Amino acid sequence: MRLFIEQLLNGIAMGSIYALVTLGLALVYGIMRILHVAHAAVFTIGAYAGLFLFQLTGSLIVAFLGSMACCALLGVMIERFVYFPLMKYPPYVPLIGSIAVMLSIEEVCRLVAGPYILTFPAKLPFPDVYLGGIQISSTLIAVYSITAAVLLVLWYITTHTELGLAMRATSQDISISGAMGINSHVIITLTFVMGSAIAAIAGMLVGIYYNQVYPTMGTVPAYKTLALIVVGGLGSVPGAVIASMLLGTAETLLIGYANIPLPRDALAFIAMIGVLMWRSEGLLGSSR
Amino acid sequence: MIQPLLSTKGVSKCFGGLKAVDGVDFDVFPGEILGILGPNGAGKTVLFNLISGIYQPTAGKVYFHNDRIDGLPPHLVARKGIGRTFQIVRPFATLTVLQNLLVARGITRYGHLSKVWGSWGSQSEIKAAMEVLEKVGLTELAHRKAGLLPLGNLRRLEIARALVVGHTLLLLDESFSGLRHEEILHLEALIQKIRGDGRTVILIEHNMRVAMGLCERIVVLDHGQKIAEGPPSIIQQNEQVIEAYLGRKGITYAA
Repeated sequence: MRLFIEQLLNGIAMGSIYALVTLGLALVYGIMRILHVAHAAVFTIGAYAGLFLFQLTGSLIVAFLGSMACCALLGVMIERFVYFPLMKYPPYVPLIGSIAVMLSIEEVCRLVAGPYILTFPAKLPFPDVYLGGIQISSTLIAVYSITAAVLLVLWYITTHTELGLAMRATSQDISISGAMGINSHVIITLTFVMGSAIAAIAGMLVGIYYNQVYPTMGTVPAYKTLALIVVGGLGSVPGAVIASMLLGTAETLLIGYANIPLPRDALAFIAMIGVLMWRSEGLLGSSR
Repeated sequence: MIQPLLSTKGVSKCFGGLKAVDGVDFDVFPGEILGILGPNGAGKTVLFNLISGIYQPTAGKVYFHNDRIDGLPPHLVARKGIGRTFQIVRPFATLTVLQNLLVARGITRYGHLSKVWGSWGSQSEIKAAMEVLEKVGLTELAHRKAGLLPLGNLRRLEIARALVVGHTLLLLDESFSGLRHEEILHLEALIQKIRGDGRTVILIEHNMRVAMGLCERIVVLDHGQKIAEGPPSIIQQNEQVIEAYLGRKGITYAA
């Protein structure tokens, strides 16, 4: 029982991190109908920028904020200089551009920071918690609380503010929103700012959680989040979050219990193929 | 002489070698209902897209209140006070009817990033939106998802969305197509009412009877060019118009 609960806690943390990365992808897909593969590279940069700022200043807060700002800028630049000029071509063109950006950023990380695994020796400013004999590490608490805060803020913005209404309108129909006076370019820019800043948080959390930062840390998230937005229902943000949570929990539990001689990622993809065979439009997708 | 509200001066739009709109001049005066007629492919919707900023003209100018608006992006044209509907109805399907209007109500604030973080749907906003819904007869459906409405109601929603902002000029693109007879009558009455509020309406119309009954003046396009302009009674007699609509010889049915 105790093992089960510990696995469950780890699984939820895994799911939370998937959710943070997938969110950005779902937001961008919803508004531009582009598969933003390079988002995973933004996540990697988030981890590196956070680590660098942490070593420089010793403050986790500065590291988080700085890394978020840095990734927001990177996301906006990718949109301006890669997606915007390629939007007039069929969707596979920006997709290829996105893959190119992702590989380039990985290589830049390798060149600048070296091909090694760096450690992220951050000490969180609060202690582990013991609940009924089960230890919940401070890292897990950070993952839970930050994810909850991000989801809450995002939920509030999309459902309660005028900006959120404008974002939802733009993701449904860019030209009609234009006729309603909404500047779609500002909305797109803000979407990239939000998604990329959230990816920065995810990158840092992964760095701290596994105490590892390395150039290709975005590769597995790249294809996993891609599959997750499909499983969640393309363009559906709640769907993407639910799919991420389920996958993180399921794969961690499977690894802990079932003695299957397959790597974790293989299991994850088998599970996702299963979901898509059952519901081809994704968990919360609409068939449009 | 009365100043025109909107005027186009020699606007043209080419797509490759095709001249979709070719040097069209026309004026719309405040408070009038102007019809734009023409056979399929005459360039009517392209002309709307040129006015509302979806396309940039290849040549020519568009003036609104004596300001040049050609070359402005659609959201800025909308903010100047020109609302439009689309030939194919396009509601924000997952938003409710009321939310569809509230999105449009944001128009005065979208230009200020600092103002859009507030919550949508304050009491006064909702009141203004509900008034428009009442005017177009959609009050009972306010909280329905727009994607579930039948076509006649969607056309009303489109008009409501353009109305709620207080635009001075409305461009209606084939609002009558696909409607049943009594829906057509309702919509005609609605457009008269809108004009009665001091707004100006330009409508693209395929249905000759509707256009003749509703518009004070009509501009006829064919192959991108203006071939006639004037009150309905004169347009009906115009040789070129009859030819454009009915074909040269032998064809005896109208669209």
